[in-house]
Amino acid sequence: MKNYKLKIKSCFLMLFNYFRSCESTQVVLDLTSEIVKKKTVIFRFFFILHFTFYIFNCLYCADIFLQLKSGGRKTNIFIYPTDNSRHSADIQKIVSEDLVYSGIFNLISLPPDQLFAKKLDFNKTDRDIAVANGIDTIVKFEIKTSKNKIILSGYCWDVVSAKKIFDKDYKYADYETRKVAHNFSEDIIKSLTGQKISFSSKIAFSNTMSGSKEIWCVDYDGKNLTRITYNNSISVLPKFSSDGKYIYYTTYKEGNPDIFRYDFEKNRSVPFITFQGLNITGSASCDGKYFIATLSKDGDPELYLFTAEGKIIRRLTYSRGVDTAASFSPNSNEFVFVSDRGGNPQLYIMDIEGTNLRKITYSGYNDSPCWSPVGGAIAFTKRNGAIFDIYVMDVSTNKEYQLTKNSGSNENPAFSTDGRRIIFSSNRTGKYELFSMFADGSKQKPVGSIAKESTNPVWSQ
Amino acid sequence: MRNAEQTQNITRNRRGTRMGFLIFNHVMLNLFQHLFRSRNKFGVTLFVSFLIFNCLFTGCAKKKIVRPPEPVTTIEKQTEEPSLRGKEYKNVPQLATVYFDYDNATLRPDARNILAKNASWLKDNSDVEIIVEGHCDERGTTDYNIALGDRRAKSVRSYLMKLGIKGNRMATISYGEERPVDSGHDEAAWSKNRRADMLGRIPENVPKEILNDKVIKKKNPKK
Repeated sequence: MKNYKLKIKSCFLMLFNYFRSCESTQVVLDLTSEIVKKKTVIFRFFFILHFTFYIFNCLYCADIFLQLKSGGRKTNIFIYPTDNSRHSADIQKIVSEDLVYSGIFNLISLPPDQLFAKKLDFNKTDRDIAVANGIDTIVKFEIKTSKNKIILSGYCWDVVSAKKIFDKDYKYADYETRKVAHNFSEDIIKSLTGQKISFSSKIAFSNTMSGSKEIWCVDYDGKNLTRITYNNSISVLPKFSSDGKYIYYTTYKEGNPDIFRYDFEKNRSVPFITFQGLNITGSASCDGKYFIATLSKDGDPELYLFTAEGKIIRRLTYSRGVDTAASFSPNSNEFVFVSDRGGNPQLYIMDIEGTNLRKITYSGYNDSPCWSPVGGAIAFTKRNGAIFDIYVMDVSTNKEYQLTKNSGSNENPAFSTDGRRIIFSSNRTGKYELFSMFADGSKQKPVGSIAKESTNPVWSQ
Repeated sequence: MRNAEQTQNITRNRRGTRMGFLIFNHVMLNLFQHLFRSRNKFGVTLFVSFLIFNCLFTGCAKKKIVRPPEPVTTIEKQTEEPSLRGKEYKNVPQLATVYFDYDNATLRPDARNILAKNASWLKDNSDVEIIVEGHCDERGTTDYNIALGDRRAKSVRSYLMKLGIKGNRMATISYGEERPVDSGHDEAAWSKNRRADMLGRIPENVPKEILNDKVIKKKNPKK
C-alpha cells in the first residue's frame, strides 16, 4: 500500500515539475536574464531527480533474483589423504560423494603406479602427474589426533597455476566426523565456485516404520536417520523454521489435528497452534518473523498469519472452499497457496497483508506448491489422470515445465536451500519413497533406502 | 456526557481554526493580486501550480481506504462445535457411513437418505454425542486432503443440524488420507475411502459443566 502511495506521489511530483520547467523555459525566451537561467537549471535538475525517483520506485516494487547455473565442462578434482588410516578414508569417501552430488565436479581416479607425495604441499612431480591425468584441482588433507580432539587440515591447489586456493583446519570430536566432512566439502565448493551449497542440511519427512506415522529426519545421502516424534499417533507435514532450530508439524496426538513445534536443542515437542478444528502446518517465513497455518475455526479451511511465537496476526483468506498449503516467497512478503475457490484446486499468490491476490495456474488440478528459496521458481504437483507429476513454474513468465514423467505418482516437491535440488515422494517402486533431483528434473534418484512409506519431505534451511 | 469545559474548548478550537483559515485566505488573495498586477508571469504560474499541488496532496491524504467489513461470525451456544480433545468415541452400528464423489464435499442423494436415518436415531438417543470423521482417498496431497476431509465432515454436520440435531452434540475431525478402510490402489478401494464416519459417546460431564458454571459465578460476583 505504501509503495502505491509513493508511486502516485512521485508521479504527481514529476508531472508538476515537468510543467513548471516548461513554463520557466518560456520565461527564459522572454527575459533571457542570468538569474532565470540558473532557476531553469535548478528546475531541470529537480525534474531529473524526480524522474529518477519515479523509476527507482517502479524498480523497488519488483525483487530481482540472480541465480548461478552450472553448465559447460565439469571440474576434474582429486581428493587425497596423506595417511592411510580408516578415519581419513571415511572422510575421503564422504567428501567425494558430496562433490559428485553437487554436480559441479568429476572425481578422477589415478592409476596405482602414479601417486601424489604424501605431504601437504604441491611440488613439481605432483603437478606433472595431475596434468597427465587431466586433473584441474587437487585437494589434500591430513588428520592428526590429540586428546579427545581430531584436527583435519585441508589444502586445495589449482593445478594449472600451481597456486593454493585455500587451507583450513577443523577441530572436532570423533562423533562429528560426518558434519566436519560436509563442512570441508562446502568450503571446497565455496572457494572454487563462490556458491554456497549445504550438505549438512537435513530432510524431515513422515514415515510409518514404527507402526504409526511419525516425523523422521535424514541427511541428503540417506544416512543419519533419526526419529523425531514419539506420539504414537498420526504426525504429518513437517516444516522447518528458517533457522533450522524447530520443526513444525501436524499431529493427532490429542485427538484433534494440532500444530506442534519440535525443538532440536531441548529435544522435545510442545503444542504450538491448537484452535478448535483443523490446525495444519503451512510455512515459516524466510526472515523468521511469520508463520502461516490453515485453520477451520471459522468454518472452511482458511489461511491465517501468525507471529513466530504462534500469536495470530490476521486472517488472510475469506473464500468459500479450501485454502491451504501456503509456502512463503524468499522475500517473506508474499506466499503461494492452494485454493479450490474456482472449482478445482489451483495455485494463487497473495501478500502477507491479505491483498494483491493473483491466480497463477488455470487448468487441471494443481496442488502442494513450494517456492524456491532462491526465488524464480515454484515447484508444484499437477494431476495427470490418476497419477500426479511434479512441475516447476517460472514465476516471472508463468510458464510450466514438467519434471517427472511416466514414473508413478510424484508428490510434495520441496526445494533445497540453494534452490538447486528438489526432494519429493514417489511411488515408482511400488511404495512411497523419498527421491531427489536437480531443479531441472535431471538425476532423479532415491534418498537412501528407508523402510516403509515415506511422504511429505522438506529440506531444512 | 461532556462537561462544560470540554465543550468550550472544542468551540474555541473551532473558532481558532476558522480565523486562521480566513487570515490565510486573505494573505493568499493579496499575494495573488500583487503578482497579477505586477505581470510577473512566472510568479503567477508558480502560485497557481502551488495551489493545485496543495489541493492534490490534501485530497490524497484525506482519502481513506475503504475496507470490506469482516464477516461477523456469531455462534450460538447450541450450534457451537464441542471440543474433542481427550475424548474417546466408539463405533455405533446404527450410524451408517456416508460416501462422497472424488474431490467433492457435497452430499449425494443416497448420502442424504442415510443421514436422515442417522438423524432419527440421534433424536431417539438424545444423550449421545457424536463425532463426524471426514476421510479421503489416497490421491492428492496430504494437506489438501485434510482440508477436503474437513469440508466433508462439516457438510455432514450442517445437514444433520438442518435435520434438527443440535450442533453442540456433533464434533468434526478430518483424517485426510491417513486412515483408509481399503488400502488398495483402484477406484473400488478409493470409493470406500471417500467417506464420513460417525462415532458416538455418552458424555459423563454434563452435570459437571453446570457445576463449573456455578463455581465460576461464585468466584466472579457482580460488581
